[in-house]
Amino acid sequence: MRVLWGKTHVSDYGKPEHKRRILKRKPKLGIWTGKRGKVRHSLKRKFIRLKLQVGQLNGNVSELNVRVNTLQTQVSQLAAQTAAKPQPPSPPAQAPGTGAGTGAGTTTGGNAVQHTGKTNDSLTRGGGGAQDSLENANARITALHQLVDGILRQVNSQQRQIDDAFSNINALRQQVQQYTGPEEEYEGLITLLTPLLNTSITIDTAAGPIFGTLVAIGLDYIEIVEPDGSIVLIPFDQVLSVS
Amino acid sequence: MDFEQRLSAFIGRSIEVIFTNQFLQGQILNVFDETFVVQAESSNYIPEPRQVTVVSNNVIFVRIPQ
Repeated sequence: MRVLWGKTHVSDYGKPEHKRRILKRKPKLGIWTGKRGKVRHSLKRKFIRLKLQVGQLNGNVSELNVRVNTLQTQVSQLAAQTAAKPQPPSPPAQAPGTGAGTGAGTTTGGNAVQHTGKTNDSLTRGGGGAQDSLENANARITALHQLVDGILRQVNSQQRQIDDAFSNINALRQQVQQYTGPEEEYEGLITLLTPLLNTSITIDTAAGPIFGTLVAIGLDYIEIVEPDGSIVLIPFDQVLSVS
Repeated sequence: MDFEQRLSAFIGRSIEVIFTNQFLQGQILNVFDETFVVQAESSNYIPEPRQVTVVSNNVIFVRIPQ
């Protein structure tokens, strides 16, 4: 049947919901996008580099400390050796020969005198050698003292470098905080969990307890290894309690 | 390292995602800023295998079996 005439249809219900154009909202961007993300990335790299430098400097300092200690022991040993050096023995008292034959006695006496003279000479020669070795030891001790002083100066300069590096780290941290604002909201939880690393803990969540060994603490999550070897990642927001 | 960065290390591995009232098991396909995509296997909660985009903030925890 064909409609010949009729009123134009006017809808009274409006446009259906599913046909209405939905305004596209801009995606929610995190704070670490664009320029901020680049700045954060560069600051992170600087942190890491500074940390590595500090670690290397610490290694150098400990190495130098060990060397200083060994040199000091050597110096003390040498000092003890020079102090305990034996005195040259006194010339032996030889009485001239007596008894039968004065002539023989005189000759023996003469021989004795010659002998003592020779022993004196030999002793003076031997004494000269001991003096030289003593002087050499003293010179070596002074050289070792100078070496120790030089090493101590190096250690002090490296300590100053370490202090400068730490002050740079603090300055960079303050710069980062300008972008991030106040301290992270999970700092308390991180401080609580850090001493519990590599220990067995139980984390209560809305889905139940999780028992295992705490192996890592991230920026916003913790990592636990269960007894069967499974790895569990729990965001900080979902942690109800720790035991 | 944050949660998403750590999760991206397990891309391709089998994973269990636990929510308040749901459970998801499957393979991680991709990880984004606040979401990650899982190829979910069929289970009581999801009758057919399909790709699920999970919002990280709503996850209670994630288990990666050995």
